[in-house]
Amino acid sequence: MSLAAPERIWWKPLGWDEKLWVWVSLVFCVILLSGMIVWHVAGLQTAPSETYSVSVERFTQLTDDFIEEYKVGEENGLPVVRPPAGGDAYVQASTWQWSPILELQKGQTYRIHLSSKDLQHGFSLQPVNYNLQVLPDYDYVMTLTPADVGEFTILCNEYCGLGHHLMVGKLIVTE
Amino acid sequence: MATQTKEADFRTCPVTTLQVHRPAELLITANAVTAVVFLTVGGILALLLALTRWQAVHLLPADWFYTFLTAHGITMLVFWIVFFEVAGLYFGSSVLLNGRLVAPKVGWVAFGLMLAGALLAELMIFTGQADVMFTAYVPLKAHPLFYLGIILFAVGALVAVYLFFASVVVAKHERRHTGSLPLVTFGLVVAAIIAAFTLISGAITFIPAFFWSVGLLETYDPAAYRLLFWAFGHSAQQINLAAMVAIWYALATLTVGATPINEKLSRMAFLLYILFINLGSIHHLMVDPGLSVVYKITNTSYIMYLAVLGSMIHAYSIPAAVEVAQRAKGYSKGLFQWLWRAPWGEPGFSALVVSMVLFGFLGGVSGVIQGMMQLNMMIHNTIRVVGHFHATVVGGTTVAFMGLTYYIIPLIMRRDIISKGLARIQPYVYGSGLFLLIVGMMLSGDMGVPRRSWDIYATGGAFTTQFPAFTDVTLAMLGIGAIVAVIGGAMFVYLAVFSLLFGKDLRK
Amino acid sequence: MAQGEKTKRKIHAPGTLVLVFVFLAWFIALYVLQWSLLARGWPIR
Ligand code: HEM
Ligand SMILES: [Cu+2]
Ligand SMILES: [Cu+2]
Repeated sequence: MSLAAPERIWWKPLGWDEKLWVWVSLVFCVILLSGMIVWHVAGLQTAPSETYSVSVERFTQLTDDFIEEYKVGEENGLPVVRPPAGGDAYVQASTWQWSPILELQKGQTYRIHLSSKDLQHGFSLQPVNYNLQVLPDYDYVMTLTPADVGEFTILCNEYCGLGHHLMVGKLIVTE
Repeated sequence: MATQTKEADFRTCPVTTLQVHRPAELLITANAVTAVVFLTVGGILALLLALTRWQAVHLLPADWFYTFLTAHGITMLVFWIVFFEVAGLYFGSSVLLNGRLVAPKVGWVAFGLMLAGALLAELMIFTGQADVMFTAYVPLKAHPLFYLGIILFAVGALVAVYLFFASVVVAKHERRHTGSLPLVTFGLVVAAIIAAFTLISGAITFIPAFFWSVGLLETYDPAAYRLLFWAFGHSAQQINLAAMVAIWYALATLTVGATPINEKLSRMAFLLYILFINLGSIHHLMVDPGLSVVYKITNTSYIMYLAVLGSMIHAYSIPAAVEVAQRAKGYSKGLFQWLWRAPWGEPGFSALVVSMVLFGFLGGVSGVIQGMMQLNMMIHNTIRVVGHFHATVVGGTTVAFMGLTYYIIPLIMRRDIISKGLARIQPYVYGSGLFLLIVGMMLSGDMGVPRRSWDIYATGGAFTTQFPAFTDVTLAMLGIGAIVAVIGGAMFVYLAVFSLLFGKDLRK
Repeated sequence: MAQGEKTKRKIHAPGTLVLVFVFLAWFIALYVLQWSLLARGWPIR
């Protein structure tokens, strides 16, 4: 009866099946925790945590400088930029675009800085399916090594106003 | 405030012999009926949203979609759930303890605040002045009255929680209840402790947001907002979890007379919730800037998945209680005769099973997995998240609440359920629709489909997007599942409302 | 003492024990599947 007071003394030892289940569960819980730690140390894919505080003006400036220095073309009104292999790259989110379009080289590692000019946005790289939160005033650095060649879309998956579903950018990976 | 218990205020329940406090009865009814009204509104919106997300149908225009999405989220997750929980708290602190609700007037003040807040927020949303989703992430700004509505609601709910605690204490003090609290009330105490933390976090989040929206505060750091918001937003889900588990125990007792096999074990599991579960709120921030890895892992893992351990214990302890009760009735052949011979036609029992299965196999498992720091990168803000919480808060909590309603109506509201046949199939209809909806959402999300998006193909944007062809199938599952689930939901609303209005009066 | 020994040995709910292990197997299967999907992703840190 779980709707009335239990018998007076209910602090009783567990049966062995209960004990078994509790121990099995506990071991499983430890495995769950270790999984995250081990993968963070030894795995190739882990959530970025490198962050800097940055004003919107400063990040806009950094992005503009970056575009000016490495711009190689234009597509649908957006600059296409080829950062040096192993170097820093900047992508700024704003309602409702991702700018610039990055052109990366397969197998090279880049430090990609993400921040927002206005609202919160969701960086969603498809079909790789990596998703990160992008905030104004925070420079979020993802260290990424593209492993496939092709054109990838960056869509926004954080609601950011009426044009949210139109907010699509691009990432190009070459050999 | 009456200091003496007036016996005239009580009636004796002829079925359970519990003493029912009439003023409490009225408040329980008012809160539960209000909850069902919000469920109805939210359900209609749900259908429209789902038929828009099913891109082959694409029903609503974009602006309506986002307005209705905000409305659906708040109406369901906050108003339906919390009004019902308040009814449950009053039930657990008065009826189950043979006691009284110490200050019914305060209960009505709480009710008034909650209702006023809810209506204000709804007004702002439906007039298009708060298209910010229930998360209202700054710097996306809503009308100040939207924040005020939420604050009023939270304050009202906090008052109700206070009334719950006061009533429990007084019931023991007046010796209307002796001995340990019943397990169900114990679970509700846990829910209420988590609720106090949650509602205070809500105030800390939304009061500055209100000042910011009227211009008295110049900036509101977006990362700080997210941290505070989820201390409120996710902790609120832990209230739902604790309340749902308490109701699972209640349903097991009501339907097959189950007694927990070991009270110590069940109570320790609840204790693990109080100690660890709110740490998990941080799993919303696994791919946010500004937090260290150690901080993320420590919190998202509830130190060592100790809150998960609590749930694993309940997952054993509740079916075991049912099994033991059934075996005692003679259904003891083989491993599973107790299960085959369970009262599957009893809506309280089928709701219990549907709730446990959807919550455990779909919601709990997916939640633990997607809350892991690295795995979250593949899931954050995809519609898989929405699939996960429809498994927990709809498949789990809402179905459990529905199951309990089939008992509250005859026992508290003293009305017979009008159509037993319909009630018998309702949990199955609702549950199977939800199953399709949830699996459709989860699979779509695993293929990258974003949540909260009116058009995943971005027609008219700088570029268009492509998704695997299989998303056509999974989004159709979402749509068809929604239609079935909404039919099941409508059956519930019909049963609840019509039983209350036209059901046989059991007082005679 | 003998009484205590007995309650300790008793299996309260054998059917349930089977069910929870089925649940655990499902949990582990999805857990492994999800990590294996992540392992195929681009290196990121
Ligand atoms: C028949 C039942 C239901 C159906 C078919 C349904 C369907 C949906 C759909 C299609 C979405 C939009 C997903 C998106 O575009 O991101 C959604 C969002 C949501 N639903 Fe439901 N829903 C149902 C019941 C409920 C219930 C009972 C609750 C809460 C207890 C709930 C809570 C939510 C929340 C919190 C959101 C997210 C809103 C946001 O992203 O801001 N739903 N639902
Ligand atoms: Cu955006
Ligand atoms: Cu967006």
